[in-house]
Amino acid sequence: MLEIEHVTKTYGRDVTAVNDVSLALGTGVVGLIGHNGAGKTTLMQMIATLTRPTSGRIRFRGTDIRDQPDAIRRRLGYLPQDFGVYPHLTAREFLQYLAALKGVNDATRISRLLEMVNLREHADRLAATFSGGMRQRLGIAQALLNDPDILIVDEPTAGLDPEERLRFRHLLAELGYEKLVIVSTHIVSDIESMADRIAVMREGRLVAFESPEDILQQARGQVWQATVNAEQVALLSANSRVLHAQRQGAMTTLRLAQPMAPCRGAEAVEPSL
Amino acid sequence: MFRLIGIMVQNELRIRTRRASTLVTLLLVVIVSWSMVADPASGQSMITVGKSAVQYNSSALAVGSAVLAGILFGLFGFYLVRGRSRDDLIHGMGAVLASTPVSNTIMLFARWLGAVTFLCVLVLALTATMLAVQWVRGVGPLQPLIYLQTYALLLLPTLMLAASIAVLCDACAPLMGKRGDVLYFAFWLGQFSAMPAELTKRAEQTSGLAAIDVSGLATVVIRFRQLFHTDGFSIGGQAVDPSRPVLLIDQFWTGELITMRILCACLTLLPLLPALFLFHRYSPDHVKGTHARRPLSLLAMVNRLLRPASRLVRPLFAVACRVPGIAGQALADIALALAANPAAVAAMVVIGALGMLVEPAALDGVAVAAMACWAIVASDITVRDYQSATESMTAAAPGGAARRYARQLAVTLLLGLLCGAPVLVRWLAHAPLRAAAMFTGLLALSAAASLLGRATRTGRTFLALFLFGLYLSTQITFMPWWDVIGANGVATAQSVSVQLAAGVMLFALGYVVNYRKATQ
Repeated sequence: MLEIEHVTKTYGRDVTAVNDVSLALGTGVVGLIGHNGAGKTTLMQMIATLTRPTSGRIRFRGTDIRDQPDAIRRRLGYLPQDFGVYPHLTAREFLQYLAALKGVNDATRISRLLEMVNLREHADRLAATFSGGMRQRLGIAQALLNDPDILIVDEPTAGLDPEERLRFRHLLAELGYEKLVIVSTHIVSDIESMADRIAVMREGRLVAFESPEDILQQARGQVWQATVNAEQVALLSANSRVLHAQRQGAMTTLRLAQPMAPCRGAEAVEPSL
Repeated sequence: MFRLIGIMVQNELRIRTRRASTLVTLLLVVIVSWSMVADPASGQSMITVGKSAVQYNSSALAVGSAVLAGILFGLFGFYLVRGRSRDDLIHGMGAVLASTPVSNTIMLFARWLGAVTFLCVLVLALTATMLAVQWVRGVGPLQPLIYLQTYALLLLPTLMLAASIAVLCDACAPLMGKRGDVLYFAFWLGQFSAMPAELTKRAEQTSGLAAIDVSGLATVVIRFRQLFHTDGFSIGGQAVDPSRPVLLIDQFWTGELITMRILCACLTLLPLLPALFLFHRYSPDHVKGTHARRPLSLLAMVNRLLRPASRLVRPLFAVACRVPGIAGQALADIALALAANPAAVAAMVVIGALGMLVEPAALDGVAVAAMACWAIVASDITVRDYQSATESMTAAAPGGAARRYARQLAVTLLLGLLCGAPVLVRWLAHAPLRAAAMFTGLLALSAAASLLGRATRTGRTFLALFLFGLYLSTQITFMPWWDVIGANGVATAQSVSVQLAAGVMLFALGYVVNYRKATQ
């Protein structure tokens, strides 16, 4: 459905935000992971036609979206990272406005979407009064107005409480059965439960594009757990990569990444994303 | 397509009319349009020919109010409708809009049409007020269609041009900030100060050049010549000789004038062409969300160049830490305002030197320069926290939002006194009434800057009103009510008292507004 071919985006002479990224994507949920500044948002902005690649192509169903951006815009839903709402519009008015922009004439669609994102009771409230979670839900609703084939969601769960985050995960996972959903995040646990494939970006480059199982398989036998005292914590921290540390009284349970057992008593454990 | 444009225009109207500032604007339109019509019982008339009054029928009131309102709408209309792109970026809507299949043409045209429609709502308020004025002070039957026709022909091109240039400034990234604001102000000034002499060169016939007379002033001048065969007429309020016959404007519009005004209206669409060509469509290549919070302006560039000047004020931060209570907070605010505007520091040094050295007769000009410099800095003080997303943090400091408001107002006043100190001190010595006018004027203006900044969350409202008022005060040099800073030397004890009272009232009102916003 979507082919990204050797796409590069540079700003000025010094900044390469995306560097020679190639991906072929079909239906399903694709998690886009990376640190801040890895190039996730820039890549998504290029797919959403907000900005043009410096080089390379992006094709949607064979059509180069650089030449014909409307080809993808008609079938695209986009929830940007810094999504906000017009404070003086109600949720319903906001969706009506965007429905018009997207060419959606079905009057019942808005009601159904509000129901789906659990905002039906708040449909006629001003968006300025919404909490962060409610705004994100409204954001998803606007992204789904035109029943898009591609849904791009940039950091959808940032700032949400655990219950809202869970709701978002379920929703996106369900949508992934019929659509291409590209979700970017630096919260790995959000991706774990919903992504079919994970694209890992670092400094603008694509360093991995695998299923979660394949990534975990590569890490098997290299993750260890040990419960140690404070003195050993310092020693192990200096010599190994500590993935997680949890204090239990005077002792600390460490998860470590290491090709072989880092200390006596360490047990190999199942890796997680 | 028409349905889409209709919905977009409807959205524009919803967004604009649901702001609290729109209610304030409507009230201002009513108040200003009422006050622009002199009460005949006072011996003055809005339109005079020679010393003869022109009767207040529908035609006369429509033409007179259209001319006067056109000057205001031509200026404020731009500032009222511009800034939508920036709003979209601030509200996180830019990227969403950019990813829709709506073409640039439709997007910009709908924005323009929404802006014009909104301004027409204000014209409706003007119409209603004028009808009321005619009912109270005028003669003859109330003819709403005459008003609407006159406003459509005289005002609409002005509104359309203001909207077109606003759309252009919003579409073009370098013009989105204060740079566009300042350029438009210069353009507006140029329209009037350079009102084409060619258009009114002792002619009683219109020429094709009337098509560029957007303000309609030249059209009115020529038509008055045709009606009254004289150049001795005025619009705006002049004393009349009651012994002279009262004149009547019966049929103002001719076919030729109507054709020229329609042509003029069409030409006002021209700025939309470069807007279409330059439209950024919210691309991060041209605009960033953070830029929407940070003004892109010539002043910002100058401040960057003069950053070393801010070193002069940085020691104030350390001093502020050691000063207890509100004094220390105020000192910190002054330091922040000056550190963020090193251009103001440099200007204050230069103006201060001039204020001490120039002849007394030249102090007027120094006072005007000092106040202009102050207004640019002062307009941002109460909006700074909102624009930098530190409102919650500063409201959590001792004293809360209430003390913050009072402190920022005090800082605004103190900065004004600092800017005008040399002039103030010299006037104290030999013209104490002028010094009193300057002080009370600063008090009222500081309260107004704080109130408007808090209410509208932008410094632009106060800055636009102040610059316009400053311009008017340099033109209306004989009226004490316009001598707000004492630069004209005609302030009276009464005008000074009124300024003092206005300052107190504006402070009280601003305090209430601040309290309500803080407790929402």
